Amino acid sequence: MNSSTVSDQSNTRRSNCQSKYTLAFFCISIILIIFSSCSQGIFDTPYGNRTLILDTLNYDQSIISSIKNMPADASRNDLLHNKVGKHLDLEAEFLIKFTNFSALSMLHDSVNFIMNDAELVFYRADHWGDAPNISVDINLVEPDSSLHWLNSSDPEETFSDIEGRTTYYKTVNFNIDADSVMIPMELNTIQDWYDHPDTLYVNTGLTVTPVAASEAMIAFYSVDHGFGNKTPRIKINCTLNDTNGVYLQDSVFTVYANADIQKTTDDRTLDDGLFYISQGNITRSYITLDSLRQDTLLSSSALLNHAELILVMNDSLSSIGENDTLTIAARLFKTDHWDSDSIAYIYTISSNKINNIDDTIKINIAQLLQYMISNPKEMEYEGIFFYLNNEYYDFNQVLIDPKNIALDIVYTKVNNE
Amino acid sequence: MNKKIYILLLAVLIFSGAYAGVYEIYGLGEVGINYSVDAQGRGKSSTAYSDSLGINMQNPANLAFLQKAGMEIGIESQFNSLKGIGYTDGYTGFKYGLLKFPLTKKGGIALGLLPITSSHASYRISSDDNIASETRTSDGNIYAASMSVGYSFFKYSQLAIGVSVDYLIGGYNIVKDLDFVSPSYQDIKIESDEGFNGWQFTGGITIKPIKQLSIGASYTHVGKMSRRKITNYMTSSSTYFYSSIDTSEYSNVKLLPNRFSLGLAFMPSSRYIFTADWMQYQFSALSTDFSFSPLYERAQVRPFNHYGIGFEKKGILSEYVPYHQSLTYRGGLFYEQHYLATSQGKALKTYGATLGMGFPFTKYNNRLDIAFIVEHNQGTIYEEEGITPLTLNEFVYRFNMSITIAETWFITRGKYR
Repeated sequence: MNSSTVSDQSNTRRSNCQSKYTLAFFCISIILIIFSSCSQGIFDTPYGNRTLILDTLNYDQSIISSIKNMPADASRNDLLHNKVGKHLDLEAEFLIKFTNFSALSMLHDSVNFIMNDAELVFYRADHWGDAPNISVDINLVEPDSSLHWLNSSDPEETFSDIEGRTTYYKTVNFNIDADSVMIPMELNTIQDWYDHPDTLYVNTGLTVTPVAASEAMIAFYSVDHGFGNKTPRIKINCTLNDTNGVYLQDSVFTVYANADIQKTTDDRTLDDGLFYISQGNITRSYITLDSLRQDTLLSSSALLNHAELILVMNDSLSSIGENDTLTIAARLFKTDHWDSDSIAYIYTISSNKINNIDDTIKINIAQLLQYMISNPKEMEYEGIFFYLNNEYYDFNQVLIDPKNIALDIVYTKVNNE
Repeated sequence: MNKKIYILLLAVLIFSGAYAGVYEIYGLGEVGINYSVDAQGRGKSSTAYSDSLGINMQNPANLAFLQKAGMEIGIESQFNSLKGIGYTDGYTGFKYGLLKFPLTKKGGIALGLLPITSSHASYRISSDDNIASETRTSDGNIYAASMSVGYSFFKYSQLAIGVSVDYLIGGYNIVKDLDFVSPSYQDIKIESDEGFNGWQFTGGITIKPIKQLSIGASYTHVGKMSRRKITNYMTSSSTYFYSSIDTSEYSNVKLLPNRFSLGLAFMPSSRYIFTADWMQYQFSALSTDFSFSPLYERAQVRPFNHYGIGFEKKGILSEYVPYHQSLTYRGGLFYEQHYLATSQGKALKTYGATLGMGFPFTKYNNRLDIAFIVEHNQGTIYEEEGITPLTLNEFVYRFNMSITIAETWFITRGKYR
């Protein structure tokens, strides 16, 4: 055995020994880690070096610096309903068009069709007012490419463009609680729409507007409600012949609406003495709380645990449908001008559910107030605004007397260290 | 294989651990922890003595007696038990890691990471009305990235001197939770991440007036440190999360006091060593009030004093004796006065007993050291007017283990082979 072999064996033994001890060191460490991770108690005492101090603040109506009630434009291009008529100072009309005639245009070349009759069908979603009937005017929009519009077009701009560019077509009167309304259409109008598809920018649709004397409102399901059996449509009754003019059969073809826009007009002047929150002719109430930021008790480092705003409904001025359940949403807003387009808002908090029996509304606005006290004022008007849920689809209104308002805050002060 | 195991072990240790003590919730937490495992086995005394294999963290002059190159890595596992609660928590984690190299026959050098302070604590304050409870946890360390050199003079090394330059780095994560019983209240969480860095310089001397007696002393001067504090104020509920971050920078602050150590070692024979140490952290001269983790309002800051005595019976390192005779046995007692004191100046105290063993392996180049320490902490941890002071009655069981190893990559030709 030479010296290098002895040295190798010695090194091997040394290495094995080292590995064993190192492995033992490793294993003991793991065992200790497992043991020290066992469940444990915690030192618990009613006394100690508190760094978080819980406190409360209670405010009455004096916390409100100002109230501003503002109507919100209910004209939109993405509503689930199209309203037409007049109700509670709100006047509504809508624009709709039918450009997808694929049901007819896809017929086989060996088949010809002859239109026999056509009718426009709207399906009722809701109605308001005491009148049993409602009359509406149908007006055709001029087939001019400059009046082309889409389902996503801006309502104000589109209705401004077509103003004075519509032609009276017919007046229709129908029962306001009918499930659906069928309006016969002249075949040459339908044929014209078929012959000039939307890509040529000539099928600009029709408007449905209230007749002046009508004091009711009806809502039909819109294109945005989703494709289905409530989608507005034109039903066309056709006779099908072959190319030699031999009769094949009678068929009903359906052309679904593919664009609609709602426009509303509301010229009310609102009193700012109350919180005025309503659906339909939408009103939102904006309050500023400048004095909250100035309250030295509530420093910018305070953390809010709870901030319950209690509002009491004025029963005599409010009106809530017998079967309706509402919630009021609160949002933080900031703006330099009282113009709805320039108001920025964040966060949404909902109140408890309210109905025509409850008159107390509670909203935990801690998140909104936390932002207010933790951030310096940036714009002229900053505060909270309130609006009703479902505000585009119903006609309830809630009026709140600010004299009965209460704001109860629970917050945590952090001891400066 | 060993290198892989070390890497794996370190990775596990970094992510292990929880919260342990109670008084560590205040200030820097625990200090006086920079002892190697063999020194801990001797009642935490090592200013005047260290053997040729282990690393001395108290007095860099003792590095002069180093004869083996290699590395030493230590872990600590502690289990806390409070009277009336039982096991409160455990912690297992990395303690220290150093590389060591002899310099000729008269000197030594070491570099690595040493512990300076440690805090793993939790404390819950429950309110009388059972509305909310505040839980505070402190978790952090300050480590020294250290480079030490020691050198001895004269034939029998009657004089040794050493210096150490340490870059202090570390941080504390202090979390305060305010938890409400009612889910309608937003919980609060304030999380502060404190980061520190700075320098400290240590000078040490060891004198052997006679062969059997050794006297050692060292002094550490801590320079000004910088501190960065990032505080995250958070509230959360089921519907929202609010967070606000605040960052503060501090420079030229003195967070850690200077330290002085004095020790004796008596060696009546070559295998028996008796040691005694006194170490003081001069906390009372510290200008800071531990603002990152404050003491309770009425507490005082006093010097931290450690007194330790110990003995060691060295094993016979020979291949011609049974293995058990090559084991090293250690024991000791210590007493500590913490820097946290009552309004009357009465400091929190620790009484401790230690046992240790050293297991040589691989021809005595390497050694596995273990130390078992039982501590009893007692004293007042909180007082306020009108209540009986809260006293601590805590047992801490520590199991420390280190492995000092001369790996293949340290074995060289010539003198160190």
